[in-house]
Amino acid sequence: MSLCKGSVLIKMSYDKEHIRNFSIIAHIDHGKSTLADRILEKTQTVAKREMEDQILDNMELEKERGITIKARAVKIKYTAKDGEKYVFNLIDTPGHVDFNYEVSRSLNACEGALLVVDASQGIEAQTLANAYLAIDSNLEIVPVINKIDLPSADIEGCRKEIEDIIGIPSEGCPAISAKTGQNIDDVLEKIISDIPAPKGDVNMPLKALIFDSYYDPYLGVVVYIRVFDGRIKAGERIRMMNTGAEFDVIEVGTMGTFGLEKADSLSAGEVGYITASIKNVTDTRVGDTVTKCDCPTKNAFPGFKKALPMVYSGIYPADGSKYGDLRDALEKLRLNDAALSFEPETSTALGFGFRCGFLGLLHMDVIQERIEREFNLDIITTAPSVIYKIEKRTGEQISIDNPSRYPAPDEIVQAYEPFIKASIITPSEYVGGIMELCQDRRGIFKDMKYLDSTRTELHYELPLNEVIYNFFDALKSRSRGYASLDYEISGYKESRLVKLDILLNGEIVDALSFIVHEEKAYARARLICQKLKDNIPRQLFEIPIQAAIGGKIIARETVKALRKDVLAKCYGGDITRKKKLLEKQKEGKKKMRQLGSVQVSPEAFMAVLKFDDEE
Amino acid sequence: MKSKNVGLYIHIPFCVKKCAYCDFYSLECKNSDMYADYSECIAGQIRALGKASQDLHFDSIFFGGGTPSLIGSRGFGQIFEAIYGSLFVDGDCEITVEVNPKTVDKSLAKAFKEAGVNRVSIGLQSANDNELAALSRIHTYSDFLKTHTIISETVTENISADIMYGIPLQSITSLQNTLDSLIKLRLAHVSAYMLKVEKGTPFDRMGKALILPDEDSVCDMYELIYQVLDGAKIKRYEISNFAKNGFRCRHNLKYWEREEYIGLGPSAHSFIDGVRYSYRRDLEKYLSTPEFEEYRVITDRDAENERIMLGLRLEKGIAPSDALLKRASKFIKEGYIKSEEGRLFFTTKGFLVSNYILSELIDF
Repeated sequence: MSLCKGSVLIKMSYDKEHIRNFSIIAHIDHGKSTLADRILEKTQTVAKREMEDQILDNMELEKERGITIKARAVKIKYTAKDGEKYVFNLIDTPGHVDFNYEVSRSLNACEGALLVVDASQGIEAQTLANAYLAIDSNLEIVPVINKIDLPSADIEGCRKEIEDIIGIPSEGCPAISAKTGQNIDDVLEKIISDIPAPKGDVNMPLKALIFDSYYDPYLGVVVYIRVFDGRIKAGERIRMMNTGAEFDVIEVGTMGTFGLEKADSLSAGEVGYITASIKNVTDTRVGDTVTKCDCPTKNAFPGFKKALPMVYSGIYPADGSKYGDLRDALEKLRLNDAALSFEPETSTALGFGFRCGFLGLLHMDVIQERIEREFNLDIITTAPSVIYKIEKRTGEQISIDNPSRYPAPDEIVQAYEPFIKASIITPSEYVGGIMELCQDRRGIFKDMKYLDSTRTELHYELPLNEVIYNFFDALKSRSRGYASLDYEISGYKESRLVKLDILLNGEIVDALSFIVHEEKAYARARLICQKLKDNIPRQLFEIPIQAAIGGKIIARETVKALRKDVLAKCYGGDITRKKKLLEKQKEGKKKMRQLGSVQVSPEAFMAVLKFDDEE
Repeated sequence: MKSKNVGLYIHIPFCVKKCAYCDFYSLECKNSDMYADYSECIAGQIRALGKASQDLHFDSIFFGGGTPSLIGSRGFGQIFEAIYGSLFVDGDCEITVEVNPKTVDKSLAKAFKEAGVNRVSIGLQSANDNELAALSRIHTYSDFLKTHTIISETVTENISADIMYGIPLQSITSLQNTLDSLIKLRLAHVSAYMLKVEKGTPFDRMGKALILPDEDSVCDMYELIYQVLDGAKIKRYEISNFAKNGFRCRHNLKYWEREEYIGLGPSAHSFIDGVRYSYRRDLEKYLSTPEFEEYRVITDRDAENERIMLGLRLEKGIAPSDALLKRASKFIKEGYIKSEEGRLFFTTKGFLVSNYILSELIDF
């Protein structure tokens, strides 16, 4: 035992044996948040009448999409059937592959996990992915079969899948309906009996794991931690072991359902928050270890990594004068999202904007939507890009996250692009269509497993660049929504890539350039030219649209000149109507981007950038 | 007291049948009691106007609609009695009535004559019966001819006809036929309006089922109208209006030249003493207590924008400011606008894209 000098041995003033720290993990829509709500309600943490559905998902967007984006935690008091009083710390995890790292950190803060499986759907790709993450974190997994109220529920089939596919015993696992509240008590008792109490020693040097943080305008960054060893209280000087940042703790406490509840200290085994006048979430990285400056722990948690963006896209204000507002919005979002990166970027077509890095497509979508909704800004986003690696003739190795910086073909010795390992679980009848999709997206078939008589798991290696173009939507439409996907980055591979430039009226529009595999360049070039033709309003002159690789034109369309735009009748003295029409037209033109002599509306950009191969 | 010249517009919001393309404020109504009630209401408004504004000197009166001829000699009698009894009407006043074929008989024509009507505008739209049917008009070309004869024999030779282009079933050839018919009748004035599918009209609701001539054909049609009428000495003086020498519509020119006018009736617009206002599009409301839909004081900036927007509708255009001339320069270069002898005006090609260009010339 390595006690800190001068410290007084702490007697058991708190009851670690009656703490249970756990997460709920599930595939999307299998009822994770509903179960969390029901647990809160059953334990009277929330009175039924106060119950707003799905309290843990409190971002508006999360509710709408039915997904959890940020981790969250809540402390629950529960009196077991035998009369013993327990404290549960429920740590909600993000439910999407983009946030796998956050999920693994959240899981590390727990001793166990409830694995929720929809009785009518069975095990899906993210059920498996999350179960493996939990197993990797040495968690005790408690399977919970949910939605047994559905007529299509197959409880026994589900039990069998849990044993056969995941390989954990399912005997005696609760079969519940989170929706109706049926058998929720079984889950609560199972948490006590199956999930171990936290280990750790309150007399050891402080060692706490950061599993989330958010910015509060009054408190600064509120850091969510799980204490493994030692004890933390206000006034102590702490250090984040990976970033090296040091702070004086101002407040500690626990997460109540409706807000923070101040406490004297947090001890080994407990979950809670700290505040320390921290200005920036980048100082409180998920996965980092908190310790005391005067008596640090020797063992930081392993596996800390800075979340790295995988997908990049340019974000521009639709109205160029809103550049400052967009910067403010991004800065505010970054206060709560250390994984979001952005730097100023200039495009001749779109003016001033930002190159933004995201963990994945969902993360990108969420950020874009929050900018539009929460900050009321219209934005133009360029096509998402991955990071390409290029070996140049000069011997230099460069990384490219913006197609407009892609070198000329004769400067390149070899290009590399990132690949993912994808696991797709689908009802067997859609296997053909999905294989065709993967093949079409340059996928490399790895292996195929029959999970049971009706479902198949496919393994592919796919270029990330193909996945970011509507792959999810295509997968869903080819499987009537039944296929599920999980993936992880597997590394870089050599590739025959080309940069496709789009020219309007003979001038390259930088914002429309993108990188594509040689074989697909022609088809995509034709598609983009067609889309532009359909979306660029006719102007006073004819506009040629061309797609080119290097100097070579490979596709062409033309927007004919405008001949007619007139209000023939201005009659009866009604001036207002005509004025409104012109005002609207003028307003529309203000939003237009001047590309050389051509005016293009933001809508046209979006239509081109959001194209869909499945059309 | 110093008097000023103003125009009077009287809106008659009734039609036998609403046309599929029309979004003017008008109700299908064949109830003669309603016509009388409405005419009495307008008469009352006129008497009130006469009392309140004794400095106004009316040099144009225009009955528009709707189908004004529907209120019949009784309705016109009520209104004209109020006009002559309480307003100062210029001896040279232009008095126009809009009529539709099949709604004017000899006795109504006589009443027009007696009341001093000296200009009649007939809603012809097309000389081709298939096109008239497609527009859901209630008349045929021969109905129009009958109405034309009654008017020219009884009321006046100062007759205008409205035609439309860009309408279903129309072609360059069929339009040529319509134009030839007009020229044969020696009309003094023609208004040619391009069909615009207005929101909420039956044409709008037809969506893709509505088949119209394509954009290029419509532009060719406008150019044909200009050339044919010009050849017949019916000269364009506004985007959509053409007249023989001496027969321009004084009343409509007031709108484009920003002169003052007072409009009565639901949906009618007024511009007087630097204020623009209009009445709600609501007949019942108008009959009880007329309410403004909008009321707006025109600023200097508004005035300059209006001068550009409205003045450039005229063939003679406007005298441009230096700033305007500068903004217009790229369009002058491309042949959409001409700048000659201190005037700035659209060419035929420019008229066709005038909205596009105006939105760049105007500084809202």
